[in-house]
Amino acid sequence: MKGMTMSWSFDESRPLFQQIVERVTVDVVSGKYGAGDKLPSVREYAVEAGVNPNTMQKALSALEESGLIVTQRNSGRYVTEDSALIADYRKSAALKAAQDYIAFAKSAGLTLEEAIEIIKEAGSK
Amino acid sequence: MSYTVEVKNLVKKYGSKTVLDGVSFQIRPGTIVGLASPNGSGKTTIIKLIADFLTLDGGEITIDGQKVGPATKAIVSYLPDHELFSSDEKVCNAVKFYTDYHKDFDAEKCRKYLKTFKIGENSKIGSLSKGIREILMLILTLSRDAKLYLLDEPLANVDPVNREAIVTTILKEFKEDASVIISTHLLNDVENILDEVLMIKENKVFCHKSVEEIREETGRSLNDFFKETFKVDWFGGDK
Repeated sequence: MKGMTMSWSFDESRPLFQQIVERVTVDVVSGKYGAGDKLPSVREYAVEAGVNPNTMQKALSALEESGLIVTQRNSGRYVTEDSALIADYRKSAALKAAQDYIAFAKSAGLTLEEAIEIIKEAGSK
Repeated sequence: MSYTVEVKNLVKKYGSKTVLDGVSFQIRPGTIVGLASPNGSGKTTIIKLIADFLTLDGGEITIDGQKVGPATKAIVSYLPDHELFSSDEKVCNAVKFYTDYHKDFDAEKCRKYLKTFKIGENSKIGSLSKGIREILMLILTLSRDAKLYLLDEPLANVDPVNREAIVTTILKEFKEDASVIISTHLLNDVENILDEVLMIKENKVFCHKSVEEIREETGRSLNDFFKETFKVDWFGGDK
């Protein structure tokens, strides 16, 4: 349908709150919204994600507490100007994905070296 | 704290059959609540009582502090689970009816959504598919500026693509000072937009809880929790 996009996909057996925090963090560390950029309003983000606005509000407030997002009175929410902080978040997001992969590799019987080789192979394709 | 809806000790009987027996709950402003129970357990009855389309046999309902009656009809926008217009009627006449009948109706907004969903104003309602007729009714309902929206099975005949579009429309039109009650058994389509769920079991409130809390506590989606709660007891009849 014109003007309607697919909403985000969630694992509904876990609270959506944490998944929204993770997804918005990715929006920031990926540069979709760069340092100092204005973020969509709670309503716009809720519609985009297909989630309840109160849940979205809670997730954005949590990101504010962590410093990744800053609120400017009357003008909305922005990504922090602190690019070192964004870099930290980028690193921890990558670290988490790497930990998940390593856990899988271990359960599949691979050594760490073999797992790293596979990452290099995948990266070169 | 003032509630949008306050229901106290609701009792409703059809003849000798008790449908609701001491149902109480409150709904805060700015929340979207799912009303869920298997077919035939009183969802539509609750909605109709709040909409003042049925009389209660006991208890009390207040909306925005006022007892249910003609005055509350002006602040409640109700999408019934049955057809409202005859099939010979044109779409534009349905829009005109809403414009004349409801002071808070925004005809411009309504026309915008009719275009979005490609519903021609000169089409006869009977020429629209069942699903599109439901979308038309939902558009009319959401184009009012009410305090409470009662949506009785808004998705029942709608295909998955339009279901998502409808859920998006509900989110877009959601106002912070209003509340929405959506009665449905299609929980997987709406669970992400709900604040709370209200489940009715054996004529009473079985649970009224935050959907996020249900996910946290049970490790299940609302849809799975619902299915588990109302699982058919295949061997129950033998006991």
